[in-house]
Amino acid sequence: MKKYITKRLLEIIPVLFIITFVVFVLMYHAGDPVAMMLPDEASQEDRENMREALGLNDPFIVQYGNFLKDISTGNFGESIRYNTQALPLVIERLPASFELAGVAMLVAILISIPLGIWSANKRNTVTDLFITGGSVLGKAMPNFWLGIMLILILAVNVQIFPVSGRGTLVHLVLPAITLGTSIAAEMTRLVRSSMLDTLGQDYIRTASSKGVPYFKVVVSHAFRNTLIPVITITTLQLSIVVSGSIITESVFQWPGLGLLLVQAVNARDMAVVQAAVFIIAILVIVVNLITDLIYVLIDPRIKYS
Amino acid sequence: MNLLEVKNLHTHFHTDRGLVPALNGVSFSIKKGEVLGIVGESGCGKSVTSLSILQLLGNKGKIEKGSIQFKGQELTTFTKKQMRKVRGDEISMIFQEPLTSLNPLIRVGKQIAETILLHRENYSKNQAKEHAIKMMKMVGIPQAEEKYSQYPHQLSGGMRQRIMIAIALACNPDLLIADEPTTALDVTIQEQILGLMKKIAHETGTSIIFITHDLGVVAEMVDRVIVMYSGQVVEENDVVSFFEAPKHPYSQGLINSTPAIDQGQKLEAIRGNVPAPANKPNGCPFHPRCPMASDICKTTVPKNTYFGKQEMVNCWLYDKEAKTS
Ligand SMILES: Nc1ncnc2c1ncn2[C@@H]1O[C@H](COP(=O)(O)OP(=O)(O)O)[C@@H](O)[C@H]1O
Ligand code: SF4
Ligand SMILES: [Mg+2]
Repeated sequence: MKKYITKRLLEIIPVLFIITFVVFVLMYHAGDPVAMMLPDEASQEDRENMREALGLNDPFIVQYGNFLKDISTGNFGESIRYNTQALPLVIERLPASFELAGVAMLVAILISIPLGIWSANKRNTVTDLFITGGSVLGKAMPNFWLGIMLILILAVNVQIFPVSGRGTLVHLVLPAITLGTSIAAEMTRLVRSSMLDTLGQDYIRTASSKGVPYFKVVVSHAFRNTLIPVITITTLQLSIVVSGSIITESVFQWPGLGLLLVQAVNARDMAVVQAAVFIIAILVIVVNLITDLIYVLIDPRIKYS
Repeated sequence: MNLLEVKNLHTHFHTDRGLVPALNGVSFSIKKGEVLGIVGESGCGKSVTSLSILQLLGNKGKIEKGSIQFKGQELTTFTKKQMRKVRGDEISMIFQEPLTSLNPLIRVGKQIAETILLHRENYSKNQAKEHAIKMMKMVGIPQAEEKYSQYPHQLSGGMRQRIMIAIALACNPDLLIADEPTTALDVTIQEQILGLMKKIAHETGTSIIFITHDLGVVAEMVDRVIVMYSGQVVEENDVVSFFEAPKHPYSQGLINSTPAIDQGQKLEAIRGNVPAPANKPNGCPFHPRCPMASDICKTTVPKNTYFGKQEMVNCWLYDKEAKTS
């Protein structure tokens, strides 16, 4: 097990290499940062000098080499908006993002697991139809639209919740609903179909033939088996959480990593964009590793070596 | 008194594609300590019969008509809770697929102990564990203490079927239903499991319904045979007369097509297939495949003809004979 974790951690290194390369290429072609950094009245000569000073006239491979050297010490360069190091700026935003994504995820899990199980057990009834229909609706609503509607209705018309920002628990409600809805919708569908599949398995019939009460059959025999595919697919759809977070944070001006990234892209604040993309990539890798380890806890058939 | 008496059982499935009348008036009984074989090709309704007894038909299946008397009680009127008390305690079941019948995420020993804890409220967890290990030893699992904590995938198919048997016998049931318990196993393992089940029948006095389509297994295991065809019992006989003088043309066909029994002779497979319940032919359901079929067979369903208490055949060929004898 330890060996497996070490191996997985080592595997992160080449992945990071590829990410740094992609990030660098994107930024390399994204446009001239000097134009954004200098005032409009700067002369052509000033611009040239600036470019030279920043190393922007070096060949691609040299620039990439310098980039790698810098980021290996945590130096992604300075933000042109904040005039401070980019990496600390990004890391500073992590707690806000974790708070929102974590609460949204928790809400989504608490809603989707019971609903998914319930609708699977009430298959083809009105209850099932409502839950399935609701999850289709939840999935069909774009995050930004839901966010704006919630703001209009519950923050502007009826002023129950703040329009934007972070601070108290009340601030968290609307963003968490916005982000949680799409995740919950997707997960409800997953739990339902996985549960249906599990309920048709032979070992469920065996449990019933032993006299296990139906509720216990579902909870202690079917549920854990249901989770395995749910976790797999949820991990695969981690992109929903990431992109959902970016949109939700923008709509609610939630001071997390997503908002920072969007603002940095708009301002061509390359150092911050690079640092943010890099950190998001690492987070995705870590979440994948953690889910692989969760499998081992749930499924004795999986042995990593 | 009979331990179990099934009378005129009709079980239907209400599926999306329409009504499936799987059982159409099944009757049979089993005495205490008896081993009853149910034979017939696949699709005849053997499994549905056993699942009907335990009322494990799922949400689509329903007992439409008939009675199931067990120890003098009418099971069809039992509530869900009453049925749960019967399952695993008084009547238990072993299924065909040892590889998929155990929960892959629960230690095998726990799956035995679970049944014990469900039905023996005065047992502590430790007592249940001890009892489970005792059961594992009884069904011939070596190193039972160690195996207790293993997961199904760590055991072979034969060992898993032994675990299933241990689960089924853990509460010392009056009736054990074994639905093709050895079909999925290879021949040597099959022999071992059959040997184990014979030992159980001998030592515990548990009545066994042994479902199989393998007549070799029937010859080895059972006291009495019922033959099912298209959701009905077409012959009931003791095992010796069944092999020596099978009455129903379908029974004769089954025996003639079984290699182990009819050595040396040329095998004659019964032509055609079991009809799907929805496309049951008129008259005798076997008539399209029956070499003895006459005109009446195509139009009118034959009546049961009884010979003594325990012999029955459902075929026009015997109708007159019964009247004269
Ligand atoms: N859950 C079900 N839904 C619909 N039809 C079923 C179901 N279970 C069994 N049947 C039908 O009932 C008939 C008898 O099946 P079964 O008892 O499993 O046969 P076997 O004798 O091989 O055990 C078959 O035609 C089968 O298609
Ligand atoms: S009733 Fe007729 S068709 Fe049916 S088994 Fe007897 S002889 Fe054959
Ligand atoms: Mg069957």
